[in-house]
Amino acid sequence: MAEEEKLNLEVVSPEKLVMSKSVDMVTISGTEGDFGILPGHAAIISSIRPGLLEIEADKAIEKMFIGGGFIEVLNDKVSILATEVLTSNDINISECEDKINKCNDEIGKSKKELDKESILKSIDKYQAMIEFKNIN
Amino acid sequence: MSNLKELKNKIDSVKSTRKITQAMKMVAASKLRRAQESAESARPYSEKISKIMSSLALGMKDSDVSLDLLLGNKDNTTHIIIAVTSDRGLCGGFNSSIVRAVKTKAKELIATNSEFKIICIGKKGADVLKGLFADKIIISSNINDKNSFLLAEDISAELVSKLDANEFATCSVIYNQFKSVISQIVREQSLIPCSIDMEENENKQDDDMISFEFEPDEKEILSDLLPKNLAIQIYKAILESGAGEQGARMAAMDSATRNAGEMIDKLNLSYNRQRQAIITGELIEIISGAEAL
Repeated sequence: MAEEEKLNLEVVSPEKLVMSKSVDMVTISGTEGDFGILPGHAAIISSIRPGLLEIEADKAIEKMFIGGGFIEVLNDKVSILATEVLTSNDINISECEDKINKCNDEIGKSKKELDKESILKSIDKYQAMIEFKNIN
Repeated sequence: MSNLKELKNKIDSVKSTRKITQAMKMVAASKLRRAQESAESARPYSEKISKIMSSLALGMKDSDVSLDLLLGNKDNTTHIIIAVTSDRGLCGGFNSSIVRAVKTKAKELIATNSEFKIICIGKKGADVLKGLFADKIIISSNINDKNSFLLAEDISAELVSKLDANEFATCSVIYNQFKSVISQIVREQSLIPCSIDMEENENKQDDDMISFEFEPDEKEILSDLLPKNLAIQIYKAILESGAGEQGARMAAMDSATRNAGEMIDKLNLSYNRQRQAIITGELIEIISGAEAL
């Protein structure tokens, strides 16, 4: 692979365009396992589970937390549609723990299967947030 | 004499009205900037999501996976109209043009013997539509600036559950698209079945050879993506309409201020004329009185 090949990365959240630049490599947590994307990657559409997004550009690595969403790769253009984008500074561990506790309380009360599913999903998200904070 | 006083009162009242409209215009201008910013910053996401939708839909052409959310429900003919208006009035023809569009749409639907239901977002539209189609309105909610995304999510969740319960077939949203400060365009966008930009499709035709890999499979991604897309499209409509509302109000208040100015000029002219006439009359009286002596 020629060295000047780069990926065109765009990260968008519902509120705004978070990032748009050319990078060397993107690593992301897909619903079916983490995967890395290098220039020349096959076209893919995948959903993302809450977790780490690693961006390597000019030998520097940038880490962000993605609260789920989708990724599309097409012709070295990577678009990430994130429901939430956070950096390590935005995350407060005790707040996340509070929210997990709250979710656990709610799960006992709710009867609908659908509600339970969404609560479990948010617990997963907060746990991933804590994990992310601990690593960084 | 009393006439002169009346005129004076009228001038004063028009002057204070002008002050109010001027203030409203300035408030709208500053709100417009904020509304425009939030509408513009939401645009990349909704554009991307509809792009992914169209690539997915193209990829789906060959497979026989069909989802109600993408294609609409074929067993039912009920149509849901989402009318996005504003909570406050005094913004020119902003709300009435939406109401008119809803009426036209309703007439069309009645002509084809289809049932329809209405969801009202925004108080002003709900007030008028309640008078016209009271029994058709299923949800009416006000816009609260703080949680318009939550509102959009709630409505889309409601739509999804109604679709699952086979209560309607298709759904479209009617809203004012913000084009510029002085012009808002009434747009009707189909949400279910999902409208996919024709341009987008044409562009895609060129690289039709590219077939995407899906992870997990198409169906799962779609069932995840579609409700999100629905919420985002409603959110976008609310934001666009919010920016349009402020623009419309600004234009309406601007012309009201100008009209008040013109009115004041006219009233001043007739006030001065009358005052002059009274003085002239008094002078004539004095002179003729002096001559009589």
